Amino acid sequence: MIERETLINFYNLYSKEIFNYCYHLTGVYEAAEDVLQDCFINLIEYSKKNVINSKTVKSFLYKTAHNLAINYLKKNDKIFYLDDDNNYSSVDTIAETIANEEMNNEILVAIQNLDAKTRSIFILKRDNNYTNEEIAKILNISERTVRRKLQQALSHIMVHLKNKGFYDIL
Amino acid sequence: MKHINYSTLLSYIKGELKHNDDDTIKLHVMQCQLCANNLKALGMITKTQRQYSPSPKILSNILDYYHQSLLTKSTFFDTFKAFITLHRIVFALATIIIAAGIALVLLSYRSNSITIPHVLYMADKSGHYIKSDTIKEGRRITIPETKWAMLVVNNDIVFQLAGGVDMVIMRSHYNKNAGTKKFNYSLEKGTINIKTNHHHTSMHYEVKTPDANIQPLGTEFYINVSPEGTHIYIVEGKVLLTDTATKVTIETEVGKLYTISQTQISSFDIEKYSLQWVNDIDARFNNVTITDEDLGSSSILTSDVNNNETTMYQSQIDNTEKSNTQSSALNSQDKEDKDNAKEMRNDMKHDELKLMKKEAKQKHR
Repeated sequence: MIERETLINFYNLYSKEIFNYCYHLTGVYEAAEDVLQDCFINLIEYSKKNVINSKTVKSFLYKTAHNLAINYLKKNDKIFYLDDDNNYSSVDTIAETIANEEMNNEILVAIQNLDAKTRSIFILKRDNNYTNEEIAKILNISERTVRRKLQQALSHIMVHLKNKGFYDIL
Repeated sequence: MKHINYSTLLSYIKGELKHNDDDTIKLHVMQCQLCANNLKALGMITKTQRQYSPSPKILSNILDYYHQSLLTKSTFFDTFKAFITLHRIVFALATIIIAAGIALVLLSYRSNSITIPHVLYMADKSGHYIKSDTIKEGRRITIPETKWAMLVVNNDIVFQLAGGVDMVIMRSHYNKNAGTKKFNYSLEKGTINIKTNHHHTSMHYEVKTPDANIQPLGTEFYINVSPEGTHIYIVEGKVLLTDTATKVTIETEVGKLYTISQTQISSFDIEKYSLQWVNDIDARFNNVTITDEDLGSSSILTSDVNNNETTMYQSQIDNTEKSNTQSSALNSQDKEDKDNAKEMRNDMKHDELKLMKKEAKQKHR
């Protein structure tokens, strides 16, 4: 079974990024916390019967988080969260600040409207800076699918913004 | 004016473009409002969102669960399951080896447990013996009162069965280490005479009666089982006689009559022909002499049961041929003899069936 110190080390290393991944995927803070907790409980259970490899533990945690979050989304209706503290690019005027805030909210809406898998890929790419290869490994899909899904996500968000009349974009 | 596509704009945002291309994009965006809008939108979309931290209680919950797991003793089944999961390949191999071992043991047991058939010769009205049936172990022989027969085992032991005999050929036991086979017979009623032509160290047999166990040591003797008890008369050699009730074993002497009844073994010096039941069976088998030639020359039982069976089979063919030769001399009686033999077989099977039904009924009760 995994040692206590090792478990704490893993938690310190990966808990934050996995939590954010779950949070952006589910859109609910409490749900993200539950998923994170369950991820590490699964790791403890897994360590009872298997030897934990520190090289693959991150992938294990992400896979578990992804499955648990998807399960959560299947059981619950999509709950859209409004991030009230986004750090977008520096702005000069109050009017611009308001416009940017509105646009950012619409981006979040567009992201939440993506299917769970595409959203998961998009979040892993955007927030965790994973390469396409790494995402493919975590989600057990091909790199080609990752590329295609990312393109779809981007197009979907841009079209959503255009429909909302933010910019006259392509 | 040609607009810049998303992927180039994304590369520009990430700073992945070459210096010259970077400047070209900058210049274009300053002149083109559409591309400027796109750049801004893409910048916002791809901007890393604010990172949050989970509350500290999550770690404490996880550690609580960890300590609880340490304290909870895993059951034997869990440990066993985990062990098997870890060593599943070894277990798979071990299972295959064990299965193969069991199969080999079963196969060897099967080869050792091949039964040696007993050949029954039925007497016809004229006193000729016709090979009747090959009787396997576990079968019962019941001779009708008016008939008589001979049972030849391994071309060596000859059982003369008088009318009214009820005998079961029990399962034989093969001792692999000693290379010997032990035959068992259960005489429940009637008179028999047993004669062994050869003394084989690899072959033993035992006759059980309701009162005694009789283990011959290469000999000739008579057994009579009646409601009064078991009577044994020794003509030649020795017999180990065990009283079933008291477990007392004695070694017999030639020319003596032994009676086992009411948990007592009594012995008497007596002339053979003063015993009526001995006279009766001798009268029936008076003209019959079975020589080595009749039985076949290769009658030695070895530890190889398969060979034995082959030898036995060959000898039976020899015997049949000889009996055919004899019977050809009696052309006029030949057909009649065969009919008689058939009749006897049918009688015997009928009696046997009756007895089996009776036994089944008794068991049922």
